[in-house]
Amino acid sequence: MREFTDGSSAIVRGALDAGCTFFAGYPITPASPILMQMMGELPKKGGVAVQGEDEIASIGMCIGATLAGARAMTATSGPGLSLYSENIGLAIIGEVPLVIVDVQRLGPATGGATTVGQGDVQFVRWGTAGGYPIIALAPSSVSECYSLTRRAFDLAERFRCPVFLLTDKELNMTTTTVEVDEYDKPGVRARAALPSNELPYRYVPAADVPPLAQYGGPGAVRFTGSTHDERALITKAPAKVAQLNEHLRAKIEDNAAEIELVVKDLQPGATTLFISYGTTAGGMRDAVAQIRAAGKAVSGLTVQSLWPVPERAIREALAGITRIVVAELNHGQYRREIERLAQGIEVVGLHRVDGELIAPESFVEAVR
Amino acid sequence: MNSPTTVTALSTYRNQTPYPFCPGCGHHSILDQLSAALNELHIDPTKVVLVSDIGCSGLSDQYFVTSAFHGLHGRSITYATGIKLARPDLKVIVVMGDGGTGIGGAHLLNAARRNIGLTVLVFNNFNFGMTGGQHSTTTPSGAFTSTTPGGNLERPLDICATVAANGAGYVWRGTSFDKDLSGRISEAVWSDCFALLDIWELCTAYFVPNNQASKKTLTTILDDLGLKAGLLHRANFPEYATAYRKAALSQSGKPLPAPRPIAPRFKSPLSGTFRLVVAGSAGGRSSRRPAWSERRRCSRGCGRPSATTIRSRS
Repeated sequence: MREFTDGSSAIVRGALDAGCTFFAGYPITPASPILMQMMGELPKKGGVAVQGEDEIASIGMCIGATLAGARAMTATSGPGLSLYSENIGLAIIGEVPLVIVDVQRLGPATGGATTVGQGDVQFVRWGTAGGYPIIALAPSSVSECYSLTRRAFDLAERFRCPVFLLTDKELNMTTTTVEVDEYDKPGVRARAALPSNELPYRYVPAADVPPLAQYGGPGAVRFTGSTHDERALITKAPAKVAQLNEHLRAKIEDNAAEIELVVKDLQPGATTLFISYGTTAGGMRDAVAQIRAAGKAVSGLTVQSLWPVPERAIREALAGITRIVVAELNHGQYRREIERLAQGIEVVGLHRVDGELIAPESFVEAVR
Repeated sequence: MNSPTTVTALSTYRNQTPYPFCPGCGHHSILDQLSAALNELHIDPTKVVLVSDIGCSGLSDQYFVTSAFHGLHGRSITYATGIKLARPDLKVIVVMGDGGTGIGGAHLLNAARRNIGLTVLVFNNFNFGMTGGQHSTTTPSGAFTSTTPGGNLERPLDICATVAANGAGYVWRGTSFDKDLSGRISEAVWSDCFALLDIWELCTAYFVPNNQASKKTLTTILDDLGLKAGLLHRANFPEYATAYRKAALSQSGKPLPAPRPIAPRFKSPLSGTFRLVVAGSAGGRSSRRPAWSERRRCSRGCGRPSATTIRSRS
């Protein structure tokens, strides 16, 4: 069965199927279609969707609602993500499950408001003070918009942290034909209840993640954005603060294998490997088909879990490769991650920052 | 929703930890009266969320046995709004300083406009106490602070008039010395509307020594500005979180988005690669809808601006 739809609708459907009950956002192209659809759909299932007075209020409402039992999502683009920054840090330190959709457009600032870009890749990784890890998924097709939205909700619950869904203007706003039966439906775990004898936070073992304590249950629940002990009381005791911050790092980095998600299209004998993500991977897939049709060997790797970097999968894909072409709509933000893994293999960047997509022909030309 | 529960009411909603505030600081009295107000309401502490802002008043939640949320500076009202929207049955009380009315001014205004059921207690001591006595939105004109060494040139914000003019359900102004403060807090919480209490008090670390201020100064400032104290405003607009649920009921049970299948109706006559040039638009693209050929091209992940390549389906 086929349908004619776009990434925005697939994300909305993915969120609803994943059990999203709260949405707050502020209008911004190209993320507005998600806001508008959530405003229409969430009330139907007893959820709440609000248009905040700005992006700061929108993400703030999402964080508050999550503590009161909701499963929340917000959606914005680069300029709005800038305003989310401080609250992203709050969600990290307070360990709040939250899905943040960043529909990228060409920056900086207002930039090419209605043109495509992938300039937020490092921004989502380092977008708040402190430098703590986050999770980011990047769908490269409309059907992946659906499945990775579900996955994002699951990971947010699993690791109690903000999970970014990094898409772009073309993916979200281009209507295309999709094979509905091919929609992958990864499971989304239910939120576990915190046992009454447990504290709202736990730091040892560092990589463990206890259930979220929610308001309105049998006991009072404390939450704070300051460095805190397991009772959520503010502390500056170095040993406790070190435990907290090590936990925030370890729960994501030490569990990276669980988050890792790539699509490998590796051809035996190929010496060139294309690496891409998001919309740009569409052009890559086309180019791979063209090159193979011409009788040459080439491999392609679509990175779906951008953060943490799926290092194991990337290293595996490098076997026999002598030239890596990293294609992205920025000046080479993800290329630097590949370069540190490539160890002696030539790494070439294929970039475009003019608001247009990278044509398959450009990939073909990049193969020597 | 307004009926208070008596089962788990406490004689005090404070815990055993002593306050950390400076001697003479008005925060002591306000928080004692907040505890008394919750006692008057006979309210279950697990059904109360104290949302604190940043600054000395932001420490308040740690001294209470209720649920608590301590977030970012100026954003307390946004978290409180999210909590109330997700759980309209909870009593959500925001504790913020005068500083929060500046950095979070947009949130204050819009929460009032929505008339969402929050009780906002502004601990208004006319300066930033925690960070060294800098001037705030409510610093009186001419007052000396660490950032107005020659006297404040700005006019102070009339918080009460601002929220009253924009939809708040309950607005009161008074001081930390007022004997009826606990009664006013419980009245505000009970009202389940956007309620704001602008509570004037003394910062004994900075504002008092910098301005030779005393309890009497609070009255002088009030008179100089021509402002009034007491219950200033009441309105009966629908509370937002409850109104939202009510409005959503009419949508309840309607079908959620599902795939809308399409079936091929035409067969392409093309058998190879063709090129189609769409001319006549001076090279520009429509800002609303790209031409059909470009839409198809975009979805395939390629793109050249002036000409479009269409391949027939194999």
